[in-house]
Amino acid sequence: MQTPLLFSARGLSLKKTLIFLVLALILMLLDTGRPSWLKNVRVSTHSAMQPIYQGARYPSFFFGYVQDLWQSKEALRRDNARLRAEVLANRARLQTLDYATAQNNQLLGVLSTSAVAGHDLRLAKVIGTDSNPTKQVVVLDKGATDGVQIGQTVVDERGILGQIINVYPNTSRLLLISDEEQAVAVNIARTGQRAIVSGRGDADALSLDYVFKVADVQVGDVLVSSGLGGRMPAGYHIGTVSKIHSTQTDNFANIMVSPAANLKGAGYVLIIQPQ
Amino acid sequence: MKRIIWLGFGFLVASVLAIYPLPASIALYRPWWLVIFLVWALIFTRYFYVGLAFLVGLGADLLLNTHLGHQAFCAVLMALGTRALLGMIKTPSLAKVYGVGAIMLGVFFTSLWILQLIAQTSVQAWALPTTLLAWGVIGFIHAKFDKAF
Repeated sequence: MQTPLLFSARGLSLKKTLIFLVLALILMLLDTGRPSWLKNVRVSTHSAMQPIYQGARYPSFFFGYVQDLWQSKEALRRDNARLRAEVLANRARLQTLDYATAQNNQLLGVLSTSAVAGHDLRLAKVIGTDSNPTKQVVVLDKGATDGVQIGQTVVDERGILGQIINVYPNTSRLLLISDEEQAVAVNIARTGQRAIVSGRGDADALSLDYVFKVADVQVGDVLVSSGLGGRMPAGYHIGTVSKIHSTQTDNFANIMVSPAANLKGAGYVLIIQPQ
Repeated sequence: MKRIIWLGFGFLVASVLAIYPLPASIALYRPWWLVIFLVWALIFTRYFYVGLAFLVGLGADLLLNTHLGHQAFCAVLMALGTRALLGMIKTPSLAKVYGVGAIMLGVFFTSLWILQLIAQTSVQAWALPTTLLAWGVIGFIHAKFDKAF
């Protein structure tokens, strides 16, 4: 029988190993202390990944096509009737919204503040998560050719999902509000108090920061984006206060928020684009 | 030359498998294909050593968007450990060699978790069992098709 000695007979080189370990440590320190120095390298790597993202669009097209083929005419008729009813209900709701917008514009005029700019909504499909699932980044099937730009806000039917961080010709990457590096300026709808909601790396929970423990916050309070800082548009749902915990030693309360948007399983999303 | 081309192809396939977008429910359990490729190349080829292990680790850091240097550091440790353990095997067998690979995958993830805890970044705990499972399946297929064993 042949001896399976396929592996190299090279000896150990502790000196070489040590050099590379030190090199890796230097890179770690650089990435921690000066992340901007390595930003271009990361951007280039993501661009190199673009063909794979592009390829990932086709299976979802294929499955969508097969699903359509299997759907019966009766099911399509039912869907059509349900969607017509939903459109009617939404149109009725929009009538009251028109009235509210008119009133709002009138008030903005009284306050001598500029009116909120209009926007378009572009439908996009979530292809999948990013290569690092703990990063709370998803890949969308719309890119620069569809007018997607870095910084645009993405929502679903329930609230804000996040912001576009990379754009490629036909795909883009969306950083969810649940990511540890993401924070949104919010208002508590009931009291109007300003605060910051930040991600915790968990799609099920966000945290409401910098709220004093004596502040008027209750479980069930709805949080909407305030638009402060100009990063995200105002008035979209962010989440609901789910848990409040205070310690004697801390001035701020530890407040947990359930996200409004479906951060875990959104299939289709809307990209807010300027008109 | 043919082997180098195959290794390049293997790296490409592992990279595609590592970054192909998956639904969130599955993505957490995705095996770390680049690490599997690296340990396989460290064991079964003559070209891979600390230098190339460092480069593959660095590539994995960039592709998987982990802290730069984390996987590179663990890959170098893994290269060193693999070489040391292979040197101890007196009567090589496929089971022993794959056992070494499994131990080194454990070393890689343990050192990565320690680095991630120090850097206070999220730890990907589910990757180890699925990566070990994938490594075992590769070993099983290898044993089935390689007549030398």
